[in-house]
Amino acid sequence: MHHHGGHMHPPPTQAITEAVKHGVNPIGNDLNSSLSNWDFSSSFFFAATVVSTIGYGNISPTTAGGQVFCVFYALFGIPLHVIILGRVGKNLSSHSEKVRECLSKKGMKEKRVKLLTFLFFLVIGAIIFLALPPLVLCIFEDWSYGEGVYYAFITLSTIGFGDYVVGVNPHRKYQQFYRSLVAIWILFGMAWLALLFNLLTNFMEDTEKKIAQIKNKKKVAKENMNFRYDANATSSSENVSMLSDSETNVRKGAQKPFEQEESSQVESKIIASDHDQKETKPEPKSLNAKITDQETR
Amino acid sequence: MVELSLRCGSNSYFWKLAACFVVYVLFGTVVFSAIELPWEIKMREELEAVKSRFLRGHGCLVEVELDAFLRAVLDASDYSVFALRNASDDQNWDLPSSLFFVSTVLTTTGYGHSVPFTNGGKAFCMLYSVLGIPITLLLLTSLVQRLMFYVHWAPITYIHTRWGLSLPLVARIHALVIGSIVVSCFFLIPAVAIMTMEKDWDYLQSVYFCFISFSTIGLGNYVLGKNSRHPNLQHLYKVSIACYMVIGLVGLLIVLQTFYELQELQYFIKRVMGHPDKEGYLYLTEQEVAITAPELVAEGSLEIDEKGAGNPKEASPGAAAKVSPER
Repeated sequence: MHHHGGHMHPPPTQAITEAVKHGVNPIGNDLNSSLSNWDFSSSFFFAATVVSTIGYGNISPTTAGGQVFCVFYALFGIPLHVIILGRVGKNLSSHSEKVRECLSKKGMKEKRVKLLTFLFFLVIGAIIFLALPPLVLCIFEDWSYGEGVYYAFITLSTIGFGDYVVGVNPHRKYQQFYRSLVAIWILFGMAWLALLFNLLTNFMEDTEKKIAQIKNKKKVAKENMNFRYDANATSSSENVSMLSDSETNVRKGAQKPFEQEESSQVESKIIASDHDQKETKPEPKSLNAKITDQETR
Repeated sequence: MVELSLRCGSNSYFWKLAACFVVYVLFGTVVFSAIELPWEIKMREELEAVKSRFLRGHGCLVEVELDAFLRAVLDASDYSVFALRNASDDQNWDLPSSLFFVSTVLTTTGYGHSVPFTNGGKAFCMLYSVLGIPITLLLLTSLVQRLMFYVHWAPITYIHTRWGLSLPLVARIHALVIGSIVVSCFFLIPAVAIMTMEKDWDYLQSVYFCFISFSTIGLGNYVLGKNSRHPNLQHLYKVSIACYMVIGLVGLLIVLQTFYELQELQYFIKRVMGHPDKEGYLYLTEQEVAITAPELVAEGSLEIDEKGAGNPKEASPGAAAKVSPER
């Protein structure tokens, strides 16, 4: 779309379609309504939807300058938003300690406690952020409860279709605080999602660690068996390397000890940095050392 | 005592950052308003003129009737069903378009060019995304982690060990190289292809479209496939666009992760997030350091930071995986 300032009489349908695409509604007195799309509060709302990547799209920059600015604005704003949300999620997650303590006092295993904490916050948050606000939205907007829930979900998941947007219906009178209230709800809703994400990754990290531990125990047990029955050390290293899955291909490479002493250390650093194998790091190092010793003997 | 002061320090740092964020949003508010408001006013005047001219030229038509007609047309166009005679008559919900829609939902881009109209469609959309978005996020993050090994760690350590350059320098060069490769492969070059495929888009608009899509903002004022020059290739076009979106998102995430692991950014992020909590992360770091420190110090790749603790740079992806570039 090229918006030329001075062209003559465009065909009416085309003019109307273009105008609507840019958020200017031709119906009746909406045309002259005081609800502008780019006054301060609407611009604020737009900036917030860009930075949170919701991106409704009912309003969007039409000028080339606006689009270029939008790109650079999002380039810095989105990481900033992500970092802040990460920190907020972490803070909230440390506050969820109380729930965790309460549960673990009942003598449950830690993994189950984490799962239950996660589910607890999931349900509570879903009620507070997804089930209750649409009741308020129904009053202010011309929506049914189902549509309100749909809107809440699409907004908080940052999909942001734009088919439903708060505060843009020109036929309704909105209170001044209404949009700010919605913005606060969005803010807290995203904080809740950050908390959930944090709890979920905590939970999954534990699961991954446990899986890695179990794998490693199996490996060491098999290794010990092979050392007992097998005089040939190289075949035992092959068995060990066969047990590795694709993520530990590096370890296989590190078991060729002759030249690459240095690179095997670097590669064991890489293993250390793979976050689901942090706890198993001491063992592969000793494993390498053991095999190294036996092969160079 | 030390930890207390650290926590206080990082708290004030966080509030400063939050204040910066608020200022940033206000800044965007003011600038967007200043740029766009004049055009909006002008557009309103033009539309008013068009409408009154139309009504004058067709005296039998009453404004109320015209408004009713306009409302019907506009309501339908909300769901991308257009009344114009020469509008393309490709469907919005045939299989390739549906695939495209699903890809925009799962990546949370959400253009809004086609949205479910029926209540059943909306309910299904919600249920589908509740399961689909976490699965997509997990898949993308694990894919990115795996690719990071081949794209990030392997080349860096190779160059570091073979050519003996220092790790920070290699990391920075690598980040720049990766950044420029991804930007050109996923933004600049496809924009050329998009520009040729779509009718009235110029190069700037194509790049703008790519950016808005990959950042998952998905405003929707530009959507591929609405107005293409080759209508017979529509189906193939839409399917390939869906794939392009996902692959491009992976590429962008790799670039973000690469930049995230740069030392400068690590320092900044540690300040914001506060010192790593003792229970999990720092303890393991010390354990790793105890094992690998002697060799690494000799190798020159271990930095002793100001607290006197060994701080291996590669231990940071643990935090990176937690605060991965997802929302």
